[in-house]
Amino acid sequence: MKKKILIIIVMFMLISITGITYSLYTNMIKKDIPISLASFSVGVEKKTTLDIDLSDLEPGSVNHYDFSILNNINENMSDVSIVYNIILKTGNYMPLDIKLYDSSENLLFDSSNGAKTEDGLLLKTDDIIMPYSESVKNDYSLEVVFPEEYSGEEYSGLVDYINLTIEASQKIK
Amino acid sequence: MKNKKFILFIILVCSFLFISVLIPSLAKLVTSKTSINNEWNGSIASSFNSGSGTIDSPYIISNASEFAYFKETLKKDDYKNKYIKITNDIILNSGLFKDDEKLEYIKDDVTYYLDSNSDKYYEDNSFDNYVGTINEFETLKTFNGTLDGDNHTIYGLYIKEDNSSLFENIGGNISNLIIENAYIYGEYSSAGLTLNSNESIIKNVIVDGNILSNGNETQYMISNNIDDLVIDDEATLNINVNLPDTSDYKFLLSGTCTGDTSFTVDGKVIPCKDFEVNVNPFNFNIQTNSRIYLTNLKYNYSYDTSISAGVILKANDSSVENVVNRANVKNKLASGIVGILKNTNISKSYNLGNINGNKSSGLVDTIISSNSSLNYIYNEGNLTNNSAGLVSNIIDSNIDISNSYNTYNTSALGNIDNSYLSINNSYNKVPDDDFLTYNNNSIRVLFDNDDFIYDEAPLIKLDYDNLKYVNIVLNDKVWNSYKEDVDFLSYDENLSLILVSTKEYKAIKGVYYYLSEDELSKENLDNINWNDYNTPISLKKRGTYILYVKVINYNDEATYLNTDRIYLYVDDIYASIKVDDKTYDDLHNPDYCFINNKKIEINAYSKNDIKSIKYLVSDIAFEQSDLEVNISWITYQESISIKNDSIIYVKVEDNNSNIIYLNSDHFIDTKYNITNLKSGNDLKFNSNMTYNSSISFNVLLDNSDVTLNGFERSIISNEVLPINTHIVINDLTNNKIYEYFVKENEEKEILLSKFNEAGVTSEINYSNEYTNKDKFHIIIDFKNIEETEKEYNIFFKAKRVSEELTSDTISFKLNSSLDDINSKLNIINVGNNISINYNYLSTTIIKFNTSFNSTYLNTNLEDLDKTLIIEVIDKDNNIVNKDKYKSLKFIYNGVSYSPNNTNKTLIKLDNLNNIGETLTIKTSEDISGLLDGDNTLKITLGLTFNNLIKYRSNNSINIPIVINKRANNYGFGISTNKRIISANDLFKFNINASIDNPTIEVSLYKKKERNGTNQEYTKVNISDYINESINTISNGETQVSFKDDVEKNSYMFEFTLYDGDTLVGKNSIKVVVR
Repeated sequence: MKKKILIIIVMFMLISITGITYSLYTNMIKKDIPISLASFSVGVEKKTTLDIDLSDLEPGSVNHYDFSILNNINENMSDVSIVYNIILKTGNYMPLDIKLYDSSENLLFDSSNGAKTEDGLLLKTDDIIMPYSESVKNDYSLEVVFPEEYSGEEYSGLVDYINLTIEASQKIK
Repeated sequence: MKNKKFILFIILVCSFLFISVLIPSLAKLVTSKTSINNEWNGSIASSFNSGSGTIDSPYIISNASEFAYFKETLKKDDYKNKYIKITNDIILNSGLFKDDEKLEYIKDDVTYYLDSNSDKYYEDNSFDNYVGTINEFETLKTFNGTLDGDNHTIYGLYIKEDNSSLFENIGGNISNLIIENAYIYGEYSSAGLTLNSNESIIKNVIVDGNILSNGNETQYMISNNIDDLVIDDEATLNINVNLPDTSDYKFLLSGTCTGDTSFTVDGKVIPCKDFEVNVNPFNFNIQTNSRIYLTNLKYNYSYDTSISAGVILKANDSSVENVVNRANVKNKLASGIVGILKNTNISKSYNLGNINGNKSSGLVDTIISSNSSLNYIYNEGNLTNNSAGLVSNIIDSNIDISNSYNTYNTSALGNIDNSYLSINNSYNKVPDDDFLTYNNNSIRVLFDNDDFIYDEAPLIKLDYDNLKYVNIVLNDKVWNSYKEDVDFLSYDENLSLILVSTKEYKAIKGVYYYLSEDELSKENLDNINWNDYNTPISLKKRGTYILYVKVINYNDEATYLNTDRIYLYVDDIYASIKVDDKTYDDLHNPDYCFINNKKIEINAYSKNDIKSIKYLVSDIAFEQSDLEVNISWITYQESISIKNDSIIYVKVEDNNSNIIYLNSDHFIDTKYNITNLKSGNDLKFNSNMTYNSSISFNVLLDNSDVTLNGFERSIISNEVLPINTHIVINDLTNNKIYEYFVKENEEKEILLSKFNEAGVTSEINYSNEYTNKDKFHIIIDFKNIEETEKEYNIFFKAKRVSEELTSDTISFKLNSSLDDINSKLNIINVGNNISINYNYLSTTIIKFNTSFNSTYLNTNLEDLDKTLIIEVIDKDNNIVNKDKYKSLKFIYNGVSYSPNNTNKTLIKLDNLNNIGETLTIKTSEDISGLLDGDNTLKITLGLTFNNLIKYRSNNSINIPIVINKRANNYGFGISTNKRIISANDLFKFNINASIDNPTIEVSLYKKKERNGTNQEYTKVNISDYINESINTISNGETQVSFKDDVEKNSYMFEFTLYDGDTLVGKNSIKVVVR
């Protein structure tokens, strides 16, 4: 029961030299949600987060959410690299196993090691560096599992959310 | 010159003659039976050899002729107060009398047949070929002197008379005399030593041979005195005697009458003078007309009897001590030591002979009118017919019996009459409550123990009562008996052991020998291979020897004797290491020897005496060159104890600087242990299994320090294992797994070297070189074999050359019958549940028992889960979808269970046999998941694997589910347009209840913990959280928003539907405020 929604998040990082873009696709809506670095802003509102609604997941279901992060090399060439983190927040209202893998199937974070906050659960990758000199696209897969063992009545009709945020900054030499 | 030559010639001739006579007489081999020089030739000497008949100079009898002279002189002289001594064995006849079916006479190992009528013996029993005549003797007349036999033997005494014995009457002392190979035959009675003993001392006498009688009856008299009587007119005398069981009696009254008139006795007129008259038994009547005086009265009674005894026929007022009967005694009445005893004590005497009579007695036939004691007496002989082990009749007597026993399977005592017995410390082989046959007036008094109960009574054995036929002679050493504790003798030259007859005339049927390295117990002597002895036994080879000899006589009795331990060393110096039954005496490549912590002894010998014995304990082998340098030797004290896996090296040096080295094998102190024996992988072992089961166990050495290098390991079964038996061996030391499938024509022993390493592509066999420390986990799996029914005994073995180590045996049986497992699974309802109320707040507890009654253990079920399978079945026997009974909760051991995607609720049990377990079913007032029709809760017992049902019971618990309210008539749907909501965000509920103008109450619950697994919600006041007033809502859309300050959490809206006042449904929906 694996739903696969292909989401491409296009992130556009505006810095003096280069930018990082991500794109997120839903099965219905294509959205370009460029992100803007805090220190750099070109005055355009960029959306750098995405919400995923987890209503009515069935016990035993395994869902994958695939996305990419890429750097758009435009006419404004930069001579600096960018470092970014992928941050996931969830309400932790459901007993889910959440894992993030990169394209080499490396596990970047795992909900069993998440930090509990007053808002729920927080998961964050280590710093990821994106170079400036060439076009790069990093692919990621978010796996959300509702374990089968939670088959009791009390686990029916649950609802929760996932919020994905990409935070980027200039890499300082 | 000529004279000198002549003299020299004479000297040479004389020397030659001297030597030619001397040498043959030196060593007399046992089987050399030349004529016996001293057998009686029938002559009668003219005098005793010497002596004057005094105590200091007794008459000496040194041969048979002088003994015959003694016989003749006894006809005139009773030798009262005179002394006689026998100084040599008296051989009256040298052949052996053997009374079998025919009377045989065995002489010089040739068996002849004796015609007892003529005393001639012949080559065969047709008496055709005459060979010779027996020397017949006569019963010696009354002897009242003292005869000392000086432990010599009268051999071959042959007498045939009416009443036969060596002596007719003895009134003196006879001691230290052996009567052997006697053939004493009497028409009426017979005895070995004497017919009568009166006031005699008989001591240290052995009788052996045949004491026989034709059984013709004879008169036997017993006489009692009666006090003088004065009778005036009439008197009746009563005589109370109880008589031995025999036939006619004659009673005689005798005495002297003084008076003027005659008198009558029982009506018979008797003149008044010396008289003798037959009277009535027991009482008789005397009458007279005037006074008479009766004096010297005697009351005699006699009866016909025919009795024989091994030693003394009638003993009166005598003493019998240290007397043994070995003779066969045969007559109508037959006894071992004494026939009729009166006032005679017997001590330290026993019977070993066969007593054959119409009535047999081991010791004494009849004790009568006696005050006597029997002390330290026993019977070990065979008795026949109506026997008493010790005494057949005790009449009118006071008898003490102590320290006595009878081993023959009969009562110890027979008829007891009018007697007082005091018995203590005496035993009978047969516990016999009625061993004493009472007549009137008998009293029995027992001390110290119960009636003659046989126990391990001590065997008295008189020292001189040993059958000695042969001596073993080695130089100046002589051995003549069997002994268990042997001394040690060493010799450094070749030896010759010779067997020499103790007495030439003793007939021996066979002589055998056996050379042993170790001491042999008496029990061992029956189990060895004896060699015929023909020539002296030569010892030439270095070694240790104990010579055992067995001599069989013509009674087929075996006597044994042995030497001490003789060590023969031809080298200057010798040493040995001894452990258990192994002896090492040289330097060699050590093999393996399994021992169990035994002590090790070192022995060393040298002509020059030993200077030092040293040893070392090593775990590696040495060459001699290693031992000669740089070794730390330990001085040997008494013995060496070793730990494990050691070789003992020994260095011995004598005073002549001779040094030798020797070593033992590798001593290994270990054994295989079988541990963790299971059926399957982890089931309690049951030796009765289905044929497709498996067993597993560990095999390990109990001593983890031991390494068995170079040993071939194998698994051995009493029967060849079935084809396709899968054996897996996990070498736990080397972490490798090997496997093997039994093939056709397999052997009972499967070597581990046939096994292949599992999980590797190339074929790698198990190698015995891999394993040094044996620690294996073994699985024998019969899953793939054909059906069979067989018993197996298997064990593990390691072997190297001749040493092998085996484990204990594991026994099991494979059974051909496979159960129908479904029919063996059982579940029964032991509660009294009638039904489950659905849609009603209820708790139903179902009490059940489960069992699995398999015929045999089937290990294939091991990995299956024992599971309760719960389903809801409709009236058509279809399984109801779980969504239709969401409010049914199944609780077992405090844990709540729900149906899975196959609409079955599976609850795992710990085991299949449960008694009084409970399953709780809770229902609530919830119409969600409505049930249509008649439904049943069905519970079965199953075996599952990964939640797949493999087996389930044929029977089940079935409980009807009763719908309390027809809630399934109501539809009640709830939906919302948003479920992830921000505070103050508007969102809508859409209510669709199938009632017109429904009353729907709304409640709000907040999640207790920010935790995915805990889904507990707590009811809150809805107006504190929601802007709108929605305590009740109606069908259709309702817009709702959370307050600004509401906590970010998950909330549950619960909607309750009423039809009028009746609650008919509930529904809920969860949202998240973020």
